[in-house]
Amino acid sequence: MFKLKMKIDGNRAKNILGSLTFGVLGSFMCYASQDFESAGQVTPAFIGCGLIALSILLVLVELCKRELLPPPTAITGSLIRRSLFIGFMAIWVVALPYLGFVVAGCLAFAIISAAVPKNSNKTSAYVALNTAAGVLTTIGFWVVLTAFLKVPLPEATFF
Amino acid sequence: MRLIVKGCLVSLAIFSALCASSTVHAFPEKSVRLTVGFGPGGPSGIAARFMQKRFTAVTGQELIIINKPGAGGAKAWSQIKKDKKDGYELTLLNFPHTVLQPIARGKNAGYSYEDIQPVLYYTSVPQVLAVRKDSPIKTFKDLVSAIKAKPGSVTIGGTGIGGSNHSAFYKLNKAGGFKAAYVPFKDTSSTIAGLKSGSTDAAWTFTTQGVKDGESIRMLAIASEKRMSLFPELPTLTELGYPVVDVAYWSIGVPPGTPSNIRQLVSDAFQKVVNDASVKADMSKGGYQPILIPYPKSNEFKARLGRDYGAVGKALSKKK
Amino acid sequence: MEFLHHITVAFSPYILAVGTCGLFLGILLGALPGLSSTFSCAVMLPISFSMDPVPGLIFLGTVYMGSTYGGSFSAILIKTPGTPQSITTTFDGFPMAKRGEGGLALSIACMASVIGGLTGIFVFLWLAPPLAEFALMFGPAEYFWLALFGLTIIASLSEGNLVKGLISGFFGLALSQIGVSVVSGDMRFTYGNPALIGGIPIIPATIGLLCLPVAIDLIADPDHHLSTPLTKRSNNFLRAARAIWDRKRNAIQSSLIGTLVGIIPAAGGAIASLVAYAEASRTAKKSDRFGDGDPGGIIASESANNATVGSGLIPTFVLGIPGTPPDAVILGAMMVHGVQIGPKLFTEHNDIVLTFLSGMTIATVLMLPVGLFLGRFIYSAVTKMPKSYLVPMVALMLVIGSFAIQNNYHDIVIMLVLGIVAWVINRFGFPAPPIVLGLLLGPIAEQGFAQALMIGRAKDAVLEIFFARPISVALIGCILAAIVLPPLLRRSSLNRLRMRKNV
Repeated sequence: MFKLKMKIDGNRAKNILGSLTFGVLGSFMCYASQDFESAGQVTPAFIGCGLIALSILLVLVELCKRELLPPPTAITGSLIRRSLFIGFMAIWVVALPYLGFVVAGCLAFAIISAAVPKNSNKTSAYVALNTAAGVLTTIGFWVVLTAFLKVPLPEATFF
Repeated sequence: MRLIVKGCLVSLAIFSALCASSTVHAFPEKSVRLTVGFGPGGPSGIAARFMQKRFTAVTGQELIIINKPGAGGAKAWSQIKKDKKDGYELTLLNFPHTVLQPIARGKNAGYSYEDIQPVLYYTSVPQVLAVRKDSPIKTFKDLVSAIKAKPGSVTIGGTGIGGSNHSAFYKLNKAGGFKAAYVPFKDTSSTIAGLKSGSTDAAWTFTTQGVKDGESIRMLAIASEKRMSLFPELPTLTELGYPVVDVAYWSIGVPPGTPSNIRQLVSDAFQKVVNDASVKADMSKGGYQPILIPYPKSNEFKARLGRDYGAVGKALSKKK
Repeated sequence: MEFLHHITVAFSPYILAVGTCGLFLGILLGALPGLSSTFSCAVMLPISFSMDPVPGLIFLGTVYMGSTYGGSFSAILIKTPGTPQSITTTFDGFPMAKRGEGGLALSIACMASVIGGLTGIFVFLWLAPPLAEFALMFGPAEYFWLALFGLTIIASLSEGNLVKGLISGFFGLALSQIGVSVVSGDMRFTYGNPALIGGIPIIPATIGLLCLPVAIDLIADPDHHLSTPLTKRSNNFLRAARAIWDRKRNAIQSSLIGTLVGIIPAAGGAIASLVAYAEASRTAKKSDRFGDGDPGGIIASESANNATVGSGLIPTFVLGIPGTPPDAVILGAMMVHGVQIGPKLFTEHNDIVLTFLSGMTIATVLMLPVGLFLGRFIYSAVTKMPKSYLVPMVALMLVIGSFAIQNNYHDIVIMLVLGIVAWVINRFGFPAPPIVLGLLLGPIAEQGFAQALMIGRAKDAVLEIFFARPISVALIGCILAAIVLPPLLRRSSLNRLRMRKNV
């Protein structure tokens, strides 16, 4: 009844892999919900089954489709920069409770603004100006939020 | 030039001398942060805001309120241990929630009753049993006969499972020996919405709602020891033959490990605010009964509440 | 008419100043990603306490109205919803900005917000008591069907695959299960982690899922963020007015949808803008390109979400039940100010309501010049900003937005983790907005279902409770229509195409 395509190209593989991951999540939810109370069990079990069903559906659709849908928009720009950015954000978030908002914010501006411009515009004066603007912005946010709006921001525990 | 340098050095010296003094002379000397485990519009949020209004006038500093709703208040209470012990990071404590939750949730609660350190119980709100204004149930007796006529068919709403509404519901069922159906809602306004829309026949809620919605809901009974002056015609459950008392208490809390002199300072400062005439008037008008159990008596009261609700907590968690 | 009298009262310089201040602050706060309307109102509470009740309430109301509009700024300029109500504004606002039409988009958003806002207020003025009755017809079963309806809409709106959209939605539902269950009291999926006790908080999740991927993509290439503006500034006002006039049916329809959804307690602007957007794209002409930068999308989203401001006040004032989350804050403010709610408010204390509404009306009208001015200013700033300044600024705002609302460090971590997850699944073709909506609607669906079941069991009337009440039936019909209609329409248009080819 189902015609299995012999060629499974990159895009289809991605979809199948993605849906299988969600299927695994669904199975996990069904399994874990057994520990809950009867009233609390229903929804996680339902969601888990839904995820399993939908992922199976997606896999079937992928295997049986005749033409390929256009893939999601290709990644433009550099993947390395993106990963570096994510890594930097992770470090920044981890360091936040130690450095406090102001210091961390200024550092973030300094580092990111040095990293972003790829072309010839990057003179040291430019970077310095950018960093100065960043420092002012960080301090500005801090003052407005903590002094005027009375919203606390992460404070430094290191010093 | 040298004069300026000298002046700076002198001021620096004085400044550091002042900072070096470790005893706190006056409290508060800067803004105080109060974390509330519920949203800004509910009874707890409002209980905190009443104080915020006059805090600056009475103490000269600001009261910053941070609402951290989640898990019926547990989200805020599970973070008490991390607060600074200098008296400037405080949390609003709800009783009996803080008694019942650790019993019902065990290690999942995120905190234990030992983490709860009240320094000033400043208001109490008794629970009331209410119906819609146009409900066929007109008195408490009507409700009882409806429950007895068809056990399990009368629906009574309340906020959450294992909270104070649920505990009142359980106590009444036990005292009366009858069986009604409990329907849990996310928060107080959802409970009242469920009542008004006719989804539930009755609801357990607080006197603050009775004040707010006096025109559209009818209170049948109050679960306090004596009648409340705000509602002189509202009979207590004890009068009606069902000895059920379930009152919610609010207290200012400090993190565990706070030194006792700081606890005293916090307790005294907030006492002044709560005794302010306009705060008292606003709160009474809103249905909050003023009580005053300052530090160190607050510890005894905490222990008493722990004993009183311990059995209920165990029963509620066994029910599941 | 009494209302006219109150308008003149509200036109006093003091109240005008209060209203303008509230608007200004509200717009700015709403523009910052993550600072929701609820948060903005809560933060302004202490300031309102220093005023008399009526100006204080007007202040809060204008903050609410302004922040709902302000959310469109970051939605349009950096594809980051400033408030949850602006999620649907990102769908069409950002593509327009990328094309260089950001100024136009902002102007359209401003006008649509004013139209929606005024609609909500006027509906309150004239129809508050009967509409409050409508609000009371919503019981647990109705909420359950409403949440399901929201989920089917968001799946059908996802670009590309319906199934993938549904999977994302279910993933969002799965995330919403973390934490304490209201219906059973047990703690689910936290594994002892204190950060998850309260569940996944919606604002940091929204910021992470929708905004962080944008920031990650921003840094990928060094080109300027938005194309330079195509049209001169002065033309935008007329072009925006023209755009709205051409789509007046959309504007009116979306305002009315927003008004209706706002009355439903706890529904809120996010659901309103979602339903309005879906309806507008469903009834769109073939020449429209919803999802790709069609002004109609912005009109639908912004007029609906501002309409909820006025209409959400209906159950708040009449029933004491907050219509939308910020209304809970306003309700609290009223209590603290000592204003009694309930039917008495409309009989004895009528002047409070009328003065409040007059103040809101004037402020909403003022939102046009204030909003256009701020929009123009911020737009030129953002387009001129080099990426080396914009990216860290966005990153900073993401952190502030995640932290500020609840002062929780954990929320920043949640934001980061979910953001990375969203970026990864985007690469696999799974969209992120359904996750946010699943997160939002999951608790509503679960509580509605469980409560209706409990009540139904108690009354021996389970089927009636779910399927026999009028609003439930209507909502079930809408769900079926949302699922069945699109493929049917596609087939019929395909048939039409084939027939035309045969001729």
